[in-house]
Amino acid sequence: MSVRFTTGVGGLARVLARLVDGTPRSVAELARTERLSRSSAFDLVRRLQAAELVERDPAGKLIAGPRLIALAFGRFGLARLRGPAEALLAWLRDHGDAATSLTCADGEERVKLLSFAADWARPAVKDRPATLTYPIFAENGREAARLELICRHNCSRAERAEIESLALRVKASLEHYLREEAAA
Amino acid sequence: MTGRRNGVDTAIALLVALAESNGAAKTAALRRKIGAPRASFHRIVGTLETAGIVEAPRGSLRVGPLAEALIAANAQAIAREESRLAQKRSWSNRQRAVARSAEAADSGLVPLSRPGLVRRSGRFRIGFSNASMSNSWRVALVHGIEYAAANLDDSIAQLSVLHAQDDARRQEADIVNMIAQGVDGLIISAVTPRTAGSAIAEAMAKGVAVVLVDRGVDPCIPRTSFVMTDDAKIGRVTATWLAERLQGKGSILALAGDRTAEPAQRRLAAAQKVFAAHAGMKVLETAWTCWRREEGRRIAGAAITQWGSQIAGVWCDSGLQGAGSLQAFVDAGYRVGEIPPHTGGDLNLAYKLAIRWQAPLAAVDYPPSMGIKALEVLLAALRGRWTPSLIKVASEIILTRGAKTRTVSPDHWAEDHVRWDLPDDLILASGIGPAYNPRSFRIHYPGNIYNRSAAQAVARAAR
Repeated sequence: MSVRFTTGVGGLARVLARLVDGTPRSVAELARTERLSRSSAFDLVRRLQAAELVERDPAGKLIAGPRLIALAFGRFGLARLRGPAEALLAWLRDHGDAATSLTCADGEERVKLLSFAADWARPAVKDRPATLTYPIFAENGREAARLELICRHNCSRAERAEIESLALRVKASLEHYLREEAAA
Repeated sequence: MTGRRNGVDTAIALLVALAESNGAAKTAALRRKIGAPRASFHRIVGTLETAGIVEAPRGSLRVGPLAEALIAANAQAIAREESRLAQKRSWSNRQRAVARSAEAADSGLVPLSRPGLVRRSGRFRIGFSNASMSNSWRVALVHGIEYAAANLDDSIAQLSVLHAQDDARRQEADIVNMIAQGVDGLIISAVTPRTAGSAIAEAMAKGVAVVLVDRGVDPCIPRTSFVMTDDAKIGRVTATWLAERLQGKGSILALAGDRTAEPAQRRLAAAQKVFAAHAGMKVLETAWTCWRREEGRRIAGAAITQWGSQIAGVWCDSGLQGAGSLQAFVDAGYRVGEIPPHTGGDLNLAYKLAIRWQAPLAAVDYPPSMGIKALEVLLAALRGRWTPSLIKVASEIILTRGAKTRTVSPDHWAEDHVRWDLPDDLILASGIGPAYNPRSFRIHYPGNIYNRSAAQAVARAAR
């Protein structure tokens, strides 16, 4: 098989790079900013949507798709954890009434992969240190990520104990999905 | 493989393969996997590398630095979506949406459902197959789902609601019809666990997401999620309260809900277990009331005639029939402070009667707000998200003042919980907000006309 190389690949790269800022855009806007013809832009988007690299928000505008976000997680070897982690962190936030986040190491620094703010203090918890931290181990015993929680400052001892057992369930689930998805 | 594939398709295949390889792979292996010629492959990699999408250190390929910006943007997008949903949600501030203690007591993994193979975007057509409209609670469930649909109307193209009137065959036909009409997702409150199974399996096989609410189906039947509340807790807590209130001895009536409904069976079983543990407790009669007030009133009235003051307490799994029982004691001439302890909440009238006649009452409200949660989960699944396959919505303990026992403490006092200003048939844990009035409820969502609720249409047809 041979590949007919066209300037389309450049267009694809520019469209994906443009969507990285998280601003939803219409196809027409993308065509204009990236200097693509409307027909080429629509054709390109159709193919990217089919591959789940882009998707449309409820307003019909284009945003990064689940596979593109999984690809981004892949920079830290966690592409397979994106979907389960999103559901599990939201579950833990809802049940534990705590801000939850998943971080991983990038050299000396830590990168926040996902975070779900608790209803009680959306802006206030941004800079507070985590109250509870759980390492997420990959199958080879390496620490792949860390689950971090910021609990309400006035939570009782009983509440704290419940939150800890919920967090342990989520830690075990994250490790399970990390292994299961790798096996799949 | 022969033929020509253009560069865009090859680039897309490369990115998909890289994601499947967990973000890094040997160049040669990737090239073989997508079947691209060497020169074309390297040209495409070069273009993607320039944009920061990939990096190509010697002999391998990995995700590029653009990933970090993408992860940050994704976090912002999630925060925006969460904030949008939080504004639209009307969960009362004092009420938790999900049951923490029940989940904390479990030690297993959190079960998740994978996204369906058929993924869609834009707005979705949703169907709700409702088991019946036989009592006020079911009206509140329908209102809750309609309320959620109105608030999430930017994600919904149409919501259609069909009531099976407790007929399992009719429900099966309703589900099949909705699939034929092309719904993207279904919310189902099953009449019986077994009969809806084949229709649900058919829906799932066709890529229709199915969220069960309130009543489940056979655990072997695939489903996207099941939104329920802890029925055993309702039975256990109310029975424990009654046993402690009576100091472990006395004769009681047990008025259960609907014989065919799973929640009623689970609550009664949990309560019977508690009563069996107290040797001094005697159940004079166990009767099914179909959660009907008049049935509760009739059965309790007959029991009062038969046993009179021997009745030391009445266990009801809901105030739907509990209000009827309280009314029967009033009818029988019991004065203020003389009515024996009762259990069962949900219904505004049950709280009103208990407070007015100073009857000690314990209740664990069965929240129709499950319907709101069910629609949220269904929409998340339709957008291709992983979702919890079981969600337990929180239910709270309500006691009349002074009725606290050794192990049962209230989350709220009935005196603070009751709504004197709203109708008797109000269901309190609806999740629709403090202004919710079932009699004047009007709503507009994609799929209804003249702001009429689907529950209202049934009431009109019945008249």
